[in-house]
Amino acid sequence: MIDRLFIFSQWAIPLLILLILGAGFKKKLKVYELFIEGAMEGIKTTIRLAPYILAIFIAIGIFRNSGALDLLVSLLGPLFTFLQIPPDLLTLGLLKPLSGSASLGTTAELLNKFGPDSVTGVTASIIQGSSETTFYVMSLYLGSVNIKNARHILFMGLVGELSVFILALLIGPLLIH
Amino acid sequence: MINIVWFCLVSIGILVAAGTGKLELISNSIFSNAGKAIEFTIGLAGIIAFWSGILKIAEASGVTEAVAKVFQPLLSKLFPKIPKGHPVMGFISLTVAANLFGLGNVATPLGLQTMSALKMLSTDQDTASDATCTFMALVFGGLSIIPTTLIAIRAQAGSVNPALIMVPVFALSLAGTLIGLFINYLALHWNYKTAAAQKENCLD
Repeated sequence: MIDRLFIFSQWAIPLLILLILGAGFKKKLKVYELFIEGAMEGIKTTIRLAPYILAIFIAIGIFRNSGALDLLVSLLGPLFTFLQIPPDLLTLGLLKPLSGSASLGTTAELLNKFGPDSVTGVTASIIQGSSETTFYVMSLYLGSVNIKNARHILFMGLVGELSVFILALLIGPLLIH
Repeated sequence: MINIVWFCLVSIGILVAAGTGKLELISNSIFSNAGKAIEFTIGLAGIIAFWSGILKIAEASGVTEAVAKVFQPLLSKLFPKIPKGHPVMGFISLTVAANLFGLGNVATPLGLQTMSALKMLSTDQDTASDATCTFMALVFGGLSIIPTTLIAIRAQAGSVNPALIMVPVFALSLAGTLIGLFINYLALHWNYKTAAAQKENCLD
Protein backbone atom coordinates (compact mmCIF):
# COMPACT_ATOMS: atom_id res chain seq x y z
CA MET A 1 0.00 0.00 0.00
CA ILE A 2 2.70 2.45 1.07
CA ASP A 3 4.93 1.37 -1.81
CA ARG A 4 2.08 2.07 -4.20
CA LEU A 5 1.56 5.53 -2.73
CA PHE A 6 5.26 6.22 -3.20
CA ILE A 7 5.14 5.09 -6.80
CA PHE A 8 2.09 7.28 -7.36
CA SER A 9 3.95 10.20 -5.82
CA GLN A 10 6.91 9.66 -8.16
CA TRP A 11 4.77 9.15 -11.25
CA ALA A 12 2.41 12.04 -10.60
CA ILE A 13 4.77 14.79 -11.79
CA PRO A 14 5.89 13.35 -15.13
CA LEU A 15 2.32 12.29 -15.91
CA LEU A 16 0.96 15.70 -15.01
CA ILE A 17 3.49 17.34 -17.33
CA LEU A 18 2.56 14.93 -20.10
CA LEU A 19 -1.14 15.62 -19.58
CA ILE A 20 -0.67 19.40 -19.69
CA LEU A 21 1.56 19.29 -22.77
CA GLY A 22 -0.85 16.87 -24.45
CA ALA A 23 -3.82 19.17 -23.79
CA GLY A 24 -1.88 22.11 -25.18
CA PHE A 25 -0.84 20.18 -28.26
CA LYS A 26 -4.41 19.04 -28.89
CA LYS A 27 -5.56 22.66 -28.81
CA LYS A 28 -2.78 23.46 -31.31
CA LEU A 29 -1.13 25.86 -28.90
CA LYS A 30 2.46 27.01 -29.33
CA VAL A 31 3.57 25.06 -26.26
CA TYR A 32 7.23 26.02 -26.47
CA GLU A 33 6.53 29.73 -26.71
CA LEU A 34 3.99 29.56 -23.89
CA PHE A 35 6.54 27.73 -21.75
CA ILE A 36 9.17 30.43 -22.34
CA GLU A 37 6.64 33.16 -21.57
CA GLY A 38 5.65 31.51 -18.29
CA ALA A 39 9.22 30.70 -17.32
CA MET A 40 10.19 34.35 -17.86
CA GLU A 41 7.45 35.39 -15.43
CA GLY A 42 8.71 32.74 -13.01
CA ILE A 43 12.24 34.13 -13.11
CA LYS A 44 10.95 37.64 -12.46
CA THR A 45 8.87 36.40 -9.51
CA THR A 46 11.87 34.66 -8.00
CA ILE A 47 14.10 37.71 -8.30
CA ARG A 48 11.47 39.62 -6.35
CA LEU A 49 11.70 36.93 -3.66
CA ALA A 50 15.46 37.27 -3.09
CA PRO A 51 15.29 40.06 -0.45
CA TYR A 52 12.65 38.15 1.54
CA ILE A 53 14.71 34.97 1.51
CA LEU A 54 17.82 36.96 2.46
CA ALA A 55 16.02 38.60 5.41
CA ILE A 56 14.89 35.22 6.76
CA PHE A 57 18.22 33.45 6.29
CA ILE A 58 20.13 36.28 8.02
CA ALA A 59 17.73 36.52 10.97
CA ILE A 60 17.62 32.78 11.60
CA GLY A 61 21.40 32.51 11.12
CA ILE A 62 22.06 35.21 13.71
CA PHE A 63 19.51 33.80 16.14
CA ARG A 64 21.01 30.29 15.97
CA ASN A 65 24.73 31.03 15.66
CA SER A 66 24.74 33.61 18.45
CA GLY A 67 23.53 30.96 20.88
CA ALA A 68 20.24 32.82 21.43
CA LEU A 69 18.20 29.77 20.42
CA ASP A 70 20.15 27.50 22.80
CA LEU A 71 19.75 30.07 25.56
CA LEU A 72 16.00 30.21 25.02
CA VAL A 73 15.79 26.41 25.05
CA SER A 74 17.85 26.20 28.25
CA LEU A 75 15.64 28.83 29.90
CA LEU A 76 12.44 26.98 28.98
CA GLY A 77 14.12 23.58 29.46
CA PRO A 78 13.19 23.06 33.15
CA LEU A 79 9.50 23.46 32.29
CA PHE A 80 9.86 20.79 29.61
CA THR A 81 11.83 18.45 31.87
CA PHE A 82 9.11 18.91 34.48
CA LEU A 83 6.54 17.83 31.90
CA GLN A 84 8.83 14.90 30.96
CA ILE A 85 9.36 16.16 27.45
CA PRO A 86 12.91 16.20 26.03
CA PRO A 87 13.99 19.87 25.58
CA ASP A 88 15.39 18.92 22.14
CA LEU A 89 11.81 18.88 20.88
CA LEU A 90 11.52 22.52 21.95
CA THR A 91 14.44 23.40 19.67
CA LEU A 92 12.56 21.76 16.83
CA GLY A 93 9.30 23.51 17.74
CA LEU A 94 11.03 26.91 17.73
CA LEU A 95 12.87 26.32 14.45
CA LYS A 96 9.92 24.83 12.60
CA PRO A 97 8.04 28.10 11.89
CA LEU A 98 11.25 29.76 10.72
CA SER A 99 13.11 27.39 8.46
CA GLY A 100 12.22 24.19 6.67
CA SER A 101 15.80 23.12 6.04
CA ALA A 102 16.95 23.90 9.62
CA SER A 103 14.03 22.00 11.14
CA LEU A 104 14.52 19.06 8.77
CA GLY A 105 18.18 18.96 9.83
CA THR A 106 17.18 19.06 13.50
CA THR A 107 14.63 16.28 12.96
CA ALA A 108 17.30 14.11 11.33
CA GLU A 109 19.63 14.79 14.30
CA LEU A 110 16.90 13.86 16.77
CA LEU A 111 16.10 10.65 14.86
CA ASN A 112 19.76 9.64 15.04
CA LYS A 113 20.19 10.69 18.68
CA PHE A 114 17.07 9.08 20.16
CA GLY A 115 16.27 6.50 17.46
CA PRO A 116 13.53 6.92 14.84
CA ASP A 117 11.13 4.59 16.69
CA SER A 118 11.60 6.12 20.14
CA VAL A 119 8.93 8.38 21.64
CA THR A 120 11.07 11.45 20.93
CA GLY A 121 11.86 10.27 17.40
CA VAL A 122 8.22 9.68 16.55
CA THR A 123 7.10 12.96 18.14
CA ALA A 124 9.80 14.87 16.26
CA SER A 125 8.70 13.23 13.00
CA ILE A 126 5.09 14.25 13.57
CA ILE A 127 6.05 17.84 14.42
CA GLN A 128 8.17 17.99 11.28
CA GLY A 129 5.49 16.47 9.06
CA SER A 130 2.31 18.13 10.23
CA SER A 131 3.07 21.81 10.02
CA GLU A 132 4.41 24.33 7.55
CA THR A 133 7.24 26.79 8.05
CA THR A 134 4.90 29.69 8.78
CA PHE A 135 7.30 32.66 8.54
CA TYR A 136 9.07 31.40 5.46
CA VAL A 137 5.90 30.52 3.59
CA MET A 138 4.21 33.75 4.56
CA SER A 139 7.04 36.06 3.52
CA LEU A 140 7.56 34.13 0.30
CA TYR A 141 3.90 34.00 -0.74
CA LEU A 142 2.97 37.54 0.27
CA GLY A 143 6.29 38.90 -0.97
CA SER A 144 5.83 37.39 -4.41
CA VAL A 145 2.71 39.50 -4.97
CA ASN A 146 3.88 42.48 -2.92
CA ILE A 147 1.12 42.40 -0.31
CA LYS A 148 1.98 44.65 2.62
CA ASN A 149 -1.07 44.29 4.85
CA ALA A 150 -1.16 40.62 5.90
CA ARG A 151 -4.22 41.05 8.18
CA HIS A 152 -4.52 38.00 10.45
CA ILE A 153 -2.41 35.66 8.29
CA LEU A 154 0.67 35.43 10.55
CA PHE A 155 -1.40 35.08 13.72
CA MET A 156 -3.47 32.33 12.11
CA GLY A 157 -0.34 30.47 10.98
CA LEU A 158 1.37 30.65 14.35
CA VAL A 159 -1.70 29.53 16.33
CA GLY A 160 -2.09 26.58 13.93
CA GLU A 161 1.57 25.70 14.29
CA LEU A 162 1.48 25.93 18.09
CA SER A 163 -1.65 23.75 18.31
CA VAL A 164 -0.07 21.10 16.08
CA PHE A 165 3.09 21.19 18.24
CA ILE A 166 1.10 20.63 21.44
CA LEU A 167 -1.03 17.90 19.84
CA ALA A 168 2.12 16.16 18.58
CA LEU A 169 3.62 16.18 22.10
CA LEU A 170 0.41 14.56 23.39
CA ILE A 171 -0.02 12.00 20.59
CA GLY A 172 3.63 10.98 20.09
CA PRO A 173 3.91 8.90 23.30
CA LEU A 174 0.56 7.17 22.60
CA LEU A 175 1.83 5.79 19.28
CA ILE A 176 4.65 3.86 20.89
CA HIS A 177 2.66 2.08 23.62
CA MET B 1 3.96 41.71 13.52
CA ILE B 2 6.60 40.43 11.10
CA ASN B 3 8.59 43.61 11.83
CA ILE B 4 8.64 42.82 15.54
CA VAL B 5 9.63 39.19 14.99
CA TRP B 6 12.45 40.08 12.60
CA PHE B 7 13.71 42.83 14.90
CA CYS B 8 13.68 40.47 17.90
CA LEU B 9 15.48 37.62 16.12
CA VAL B 10 18.31 39.87 14.94
CA SER B 11 18.71 42.12 17.98
CA ILE B 12 18.35 39.38 20.61
CA GLY B 13 20.90 37.34 18.67
CA ILE B 14 23.39 40.22 18.65
CA LEU B 15 22.81 40.98 22.35
CA VAL B 16 23.29 37.33 23.36
CA ALA B 17 26.49 37.13 21.30
CA ALA B 18 27.71 40.36 22.93
CA GLY B 19 26.87 39.01 26.38
CA THR B 20 28.83 35.80 25.83
CA GLY B 21 31.73 37.67 24.20
CA LYS B 22 31.29 36.01 20.83
CA LEU B 23 30.36 38.98 18.68
CA GLU B 24 32.66 37.81 15.87
CA LEU B 25 30.17 34.98 15.27
CA ILE B 26 27.60 37.51 14.06
CA SER B 27 29.65 38.82 11.14
CA ASN B 28 30.57 35.28 10.12
CA SER B 29 26.94 34.24 10.32
CA ILE B 30 25.78 37.17 8.19
CA PHE B 31 28.47 36.53 5.62
CA SER B 32 27.75 32.83 5.19
CA ASN B 33 23.94 33.10 5.34
CA ALA B 34 23.80 35.97 2.85
CA GLY B 35 25.59 33.72 0.37
CA LYS B 36 23.35 30.75 1.21
CA ALA B 37 20.21 32.84 0.75
CA ILE B 38 21.20 33.84 -2.77
CA GLU B 39 22.28 30.29 -3.65
CA PHE B 40 18.93 29.06 -2.39
CA THR B 41 17.06 31.70 -4.41
CA ILE B 42 18.87 30.68 -7.57
CA GLY B 43 18.00 27.04 -6.97
CA LEU B 44 14.39 28.05 -6.40
CA ALA B 45 14.39 30.20 -9.55
CA GLY B 46 14.96 27.16 -11.75
CA ILE B 47 12.10 25.10 -10.39
CA ILE B 48 9.73 28.08 -10.17
CA ALA B 49 10.50 29.11 -13.74
CA PHE B 50 9.99 25.56 -15.00
CA TRP B 51 6.60 25.16 -13.35
CA SER B 52 5.50 28.67 -14.28
CA GLY B 53 6.19 27.68 -17.88
CA ILE B 54 4.23 24.43 -17.60
CA LEU B 55 1.36 26.17 -15.81
CA LYS B 56 1.17 28.78 -18.54
CA ILE B 57 0.42 25.93 -20.96
CA ALA B 58 -2.01 24.40 -18.46
CA GLU B 59 -3.90 27.68 -18.23
CA ALA B 60 -4.01 28.23 -22.00
CA SER B 61 -5.09 24.66 -22.72
CA GLY B 62 -7.92 24.72 -20.19
CA VAL B 63 -6.44 22.09 -17.84
CA THR B 64 -6.66 24.38 -14.79
CA GLU B 65 -10.29 25.15 -15.58
CA ALA B 66 -11.04 21.42 -15.83
CA VAL B 67 -9.38 20.84 -12.45
CA ALA B 68 -11.32 23.80 -11.05
CA LYS B 69 -14.59 22.21 -12.15
CA VAL B 70 -13.81 18.95 -10.33
CA PHE B 71 -13.10 20.68 -7.01
CA GLN B 72 -15.70 23.41 -7.44
CA PRO B 73 -18.28 21.98 -4.98
CA LEU B 74 -15.71 21.70 -2.20
CA LEU B 75 -13.89 24.96 -2.80
CA SER B 76 -16.84 27.24 -3.50
CA LYS B 77 -17.80 26.96 0.19
CA LEU B 78 -14.32 28.07 1.26
CA PHE B 79 -14.02 30.75 -1.40
CA PRO B 80 -17.51 32.22 -1.82
CA LYS B 81 -16.19 35.36 -3.53
CA ILE B 82 -14.36 33.64 -6.37
CA PRO B 83 -16.52 33.39 -9.52
CA LYS B 84 -17.67 29.86 -10.39
CA GLY B 85 -15.31 27.90 -12.61
CA HIS B 86 -12.58 30.53 -12.43
CA PRO B 87 -9.14 29.05 -13.25
CA VAL B 88 -7.79 30.25 -9.89
CA MET B 89 -9.86 27.46 -8.29
CA GLY B 90 -7.80 25.06 -10.41
CA PHE B 91 -4.56 26.56 -9.11
CA ILE B 92 -5.79 26.34 -5.52
CA SER B 93 -6.77 22.66 -5.95
CA LEU B 94 -3.45 21.81 -7.60
CA THR B 95 -1.49 23.48 -4.77
CA VAL B 96 -3.38 21.54 -2.11
CA ALA B 97 -3.01 18.32 -4.13
CA ALA B 98 0.76 18.83 -4.48
CA ASN B 99 1.07 19.13 -0.70
CA LEU B 100 -1.23 16.20 -0.15
CA PHE B 101 0.94 13.87 -2.21
CA GLY B 102 4.27 15.12 -0.91
CA LEU B 103 5.33 16.90 -4.09
CA GLY B 104 7.03 19.63 -2.07
CA ASN B 105 8.99 21.34 -4.83
CA VAL B 106 5.93 21.65 -7.07
CA ALA B 107 3.81 23.06 -4.26
CA THR B 108 5.79 26.30 -3.99
CA PRO B 109 5.64 27.28 -7.69
CA LEU B 110 1.93 26.37 -7.73
CA GLY B 111 1.32 28.35 -4.56
CA LEU B 112 3.01 31.43 -6.00
CA GLN B 113 1.00 31.10 -9.20
CA THR B 114 -2.18 30.94 -7.11
CA MET B 115 -1.15 34.04 -5.18
CA SER B 116 -0.72 36.06 -8.35
CA ALA B 117 -4.04 34.81 -9.75
CA LEU B 118 -5.77 35.70 -6.46
CA LYS B 119 -4.22 39.15 -6.54
CA MET B 120 -5.69 39.79 -9.98
CA LEU B 121 -9.15 39.19 -8.48
CA SER B 122 -8.47 41.55 -5.61
CA THR B 123 -9.39 45.22 -5.64
CA ASP B 124 -6.96 46.39 -2.97
CA GLN B 125 -3.44 45.67 -4.21
CA ASP B 126 -1.64 46.20 -0.88
CA THR B 127 -3.93 44.17 1.35
CA ALA B 128 -4.49 40.42 1.44
CA SER B 129 -8.01 39.68 0.16
CA ASP B 130 -10.40 37.34 1.98
CA ALA B 131 -9.67 34.61 -0.56
CA THR B 132 -5.92 35.09 -0.10
CA CYS B 133 -6.31 34.71 3.67
CA THR B 134 -8.32 31.49 3.26
CA PHE B 135 -5.79 30.14 0.77
CA MET B 136 -2.97 30.88 3.24
CA ALA B 137 -4.91 28.94 5.89
CA LEU B 138 -4.91 25.92 3.56
CA VAL B 139 -1.21 26.32 2.77
CA PHE B 140 -0.20 26.69 6.43
CA GLY B 141 -2.21 23.59 7.26
CA GLY B 142 0.01 21.65 4.84
CA LEU B 143 -2.43 18.74 4.55
CA SER B 144 -0.36 15.72 3.63
CA ILE B 145 -1.09 12.06 2.96
CA ILE B 146 2.41 11.02 1.88
CA PRO B 147 5.10 12.98 3.71
CA THR B 148 7.82 11.76 1.30
CA THR B 149 10.88 13.56 2.74
CA LEU B 150 9.95 12.65 6.28
CA ILE B 151 9.53 8.93 5.53
CA ALA B 152 12.84 9.01 3.67
CA ILE B 153 14.83 10.48 6.57
CA ARG B 154 13.14 8.06 8.99
CA ALA B 155 14.17 5.14 6.78
CA GLN B 156 17.68 6.57 6.59
CA ALA B 157 17.88 6.70 10.39
CA GLY B 158 17.13 2.96 10.44
CA SER B 159 13.47 2.96 11.45
CA VAL B 160 11.68 -0.40 11.61
CA ASN B 161 8.51 1.29 10.45
CA PRO B 162 9.31 4.56 8.65
CA ALA B 163 5.68 5.04 7.57
CA LEU B 164 4.30 4.71 11.12
CA ILE B 165 3.80 8.46 11.21
CA MET B 166 1.64 8.67 8.06
CA VAL B 167 -1.76 8.52 9.74
CA PRO B 168 -0.86 10.79 12.67
CA VAL B 169 0.74 13.30 10.30
CA PHE B 170 -2.40 13.37 8.18
CA ALA B 171 -4.62 13.68 11.26
CA LEU B 172 -2.57 16.48 12.79
CA SER B 173 -2.19 18.38 9.55
CA LEU B 174 -5.96 18.13 9.17
CA ALA B 175 -6.42 19.40 12.71
CA GLY B 176 -3.99 22.26 12.02
CA THR B 177 -5.79 23.14 8.79
CA LEU B 178 -9.18 23.18 10.50
CA ILE B 179 -7.88 25.34 13.34
CA GLY B 180 -6.41 27.77 10.79
CA LEU B 181 -9.64 27.85 8.78
CA PHE B 182 -11.63 28.44 11.96
CA ILE B 183 -9.46 31.40 13.02
CA ASN B 184 -9.68 32.69 9.47
CA TYR B 185 -13.48 32.41 9.53
CA LEU B 186 -13.70 34.30 12.81
CA ALA B 187 -11.29 37.00 11.63
CA LEU B 188 -13.09 37.55 8.34
CA HIS B 189 -16.50 37.74 10.01
CA TRP B 190 -15.31 40.02 12.77
CA ASN B 191 -13.91 42.21 10.03
CA TYR B 192 -17.27 42.45 8.30
CA LYS B 193 -19.05 43.28 11.50
CA THR B 194 -16.70 46.16 12.27
CA ALA B 195 -16.85 47.32 8.65
CA ALA B 196 -20.66 47.21 8.74
CA ALA B 197 -20.70 49.07 12.06
CA GLN B 198 -18.45 51.76 10.64
CA LYS B 199 -20.75 52.12 7.67
CA GLU B 200 -23.74 52.57 9.95
CA ASN B 201 -21.91 55.21 11.95
CA CYS B 202 -21.17 57.08 8.76
CA LEU B 203 -24.84 57.02 7.81
CA ASP B 204 -25.79 58.47 11.19
